[in-house]
Amino acid sequence: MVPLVELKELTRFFYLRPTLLARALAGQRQRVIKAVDRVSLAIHQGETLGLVGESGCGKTTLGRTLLFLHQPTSGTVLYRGKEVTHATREFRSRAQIIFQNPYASLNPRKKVRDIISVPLITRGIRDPFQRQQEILSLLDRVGLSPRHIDNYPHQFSGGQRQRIGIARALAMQPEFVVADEPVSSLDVSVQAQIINLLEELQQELGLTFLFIAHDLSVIYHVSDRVAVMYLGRVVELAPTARIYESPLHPYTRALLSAIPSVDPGGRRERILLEGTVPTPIDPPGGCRFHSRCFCSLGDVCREEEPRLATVSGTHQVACHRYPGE
Amino acid sequence: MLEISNLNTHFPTSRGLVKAVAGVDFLLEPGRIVGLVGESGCGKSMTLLSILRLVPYPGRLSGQIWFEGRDLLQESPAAMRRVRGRAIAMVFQDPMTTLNPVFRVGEQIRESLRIHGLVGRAPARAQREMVLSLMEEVGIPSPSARYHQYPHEFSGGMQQRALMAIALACQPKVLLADEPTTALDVTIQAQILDLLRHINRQRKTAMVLVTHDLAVASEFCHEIAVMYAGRLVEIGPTREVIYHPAHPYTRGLLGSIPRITRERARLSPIPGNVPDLAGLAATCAFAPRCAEALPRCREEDPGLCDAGPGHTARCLRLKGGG
Repeated sequence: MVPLVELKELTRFFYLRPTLLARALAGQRQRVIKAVDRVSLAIHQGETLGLVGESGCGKTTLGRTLLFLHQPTSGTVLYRGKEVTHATREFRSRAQIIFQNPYASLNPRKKVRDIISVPLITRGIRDPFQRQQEILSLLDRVGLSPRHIDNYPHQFSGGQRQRIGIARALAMQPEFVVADEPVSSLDVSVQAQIINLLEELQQELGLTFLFIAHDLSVIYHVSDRVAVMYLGRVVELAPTARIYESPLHPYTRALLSAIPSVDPGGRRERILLEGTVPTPIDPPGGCRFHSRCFCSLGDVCREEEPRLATVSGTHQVACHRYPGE
Repeated sequence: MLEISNLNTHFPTSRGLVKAVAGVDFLLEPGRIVGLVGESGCGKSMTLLSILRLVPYPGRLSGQIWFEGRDLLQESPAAMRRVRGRAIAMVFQDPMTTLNPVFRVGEQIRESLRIHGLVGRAPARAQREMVLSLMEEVGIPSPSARYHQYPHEFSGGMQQRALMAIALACQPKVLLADEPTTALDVTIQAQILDLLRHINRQRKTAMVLVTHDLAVASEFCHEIAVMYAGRLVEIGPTREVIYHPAHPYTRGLLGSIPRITRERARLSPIPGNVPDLAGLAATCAFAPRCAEALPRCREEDPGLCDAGPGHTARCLRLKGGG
């Protein structure tokens, strides 16, 4: 079956130009932030692919690049098997995004009515009455009351604003939604409300999600499959149960062992990683994790970059210890 | 060691009196760790600030805070300054805004030793040695090189370690930690919690940890105190609170957390939102969102009721005949 969204070697670099002075005096050369580096993934219709990693690993940049909010440096995006080269109106009407920060992603000078009207007008609903009906039904769908229609964003709590963001994304009737940390700025009780809402919407509307989060418990709860990113690369990809039960990549193992848990049964032997994530500016050569790895194989890890190889069925890992089949 | 009784922190506002902390009581025993848990705006950080009397204007404090036989609320400002940082130290949430960006990290740690008179007229080299050993203790690698760096050259985790070196400089008996790991990634969070646990065991430092993360609190603390709308709604030994939560709010929080071990059941969030604290009535603050509320819940404040050994909760249903 053709995947709904397929990324082939998708790459996004940011270039840091040194100031004229630094170039002239210190001979500093241009440096490169390899935010997303040759990522290949397939997202299937109706599934939720969880994308997890620590801050700065490139997960948000990946989500934005595959929607052409950043122009890819290289690589291709296929939608239903067809190549997308830039954000066409057609692509935008199918693929939408819910942003991370509900305080920054809504225009403070616009009423809810105006915020949700824009995608509706784009969809060609010109009749104001029909548009109002549509807005009311969207508000109802995301759990806001009709009397909120003429309120401004500042009149809402964080959870309510995130609901507005969801309504705006749904207004385009998309098939595919990138949810970029939709719950990380919310308190747990509200976070649970939003997660439940997203799950209901997925069932009702048959949505496909790329769910980006740094919270591994949230990822476990919502995802069918999980991709783990480290410094711009996907290091492991597997069905959720598999990755949480038998993670292979040393980084995934350390990451999972660090999750605090309320159930003592859910606690693992803790693997404390040394140091912090290196910067993605000119990242380490070879395996990017080798500088912190606790089971490195030595030279091969320092010099050669491991490929994402299939170890069994649907479980892929990029590590020299698991060269794959 | 530290006994807080009937602590109130009130802010008069144009919309009415905001009781940010309303009648909080708890006891911190030597060498123990108490976790203050709750959602944003529930008054957990304000409770910590109140202990050190750092509440911003126009906040008003009342109640008693007993520390080493003295009521901190009755002490003079000069005496309070001798307590702060020395006997009771605090680590704040955001390390980047706590450290001064224009001074070298090592100097900022040395300043803490100097202000509290711990180095006196010791030669500069001896002072430096003390700072380096502190930096080593909190796990800052190659301290002699790091001494001369500025805060922006430190990662978030390293900044948090530098703050801990400052806090530990005077060997405090109590460490107040306000969301020390919230700004950090999960692997770094594990490192910092490990360090705090080590300090607790080695130095027998008692701690109050404020966190919104019940999982962190349940792994790290001996006792958990849950706050809601400025009030302490439940307090008890960690296992008791996690396995036999007595207050409906605590149960709601536990039901909202996605868990990794359990079959992926649907989450059961608490309906509604946190109430506005301005002019909140003296009845049970959680009643409007509570599925188990009785008509009486909207009329009286239940007070803390017994829910097991060392375990109390502010719920009418625990009161006899409820």
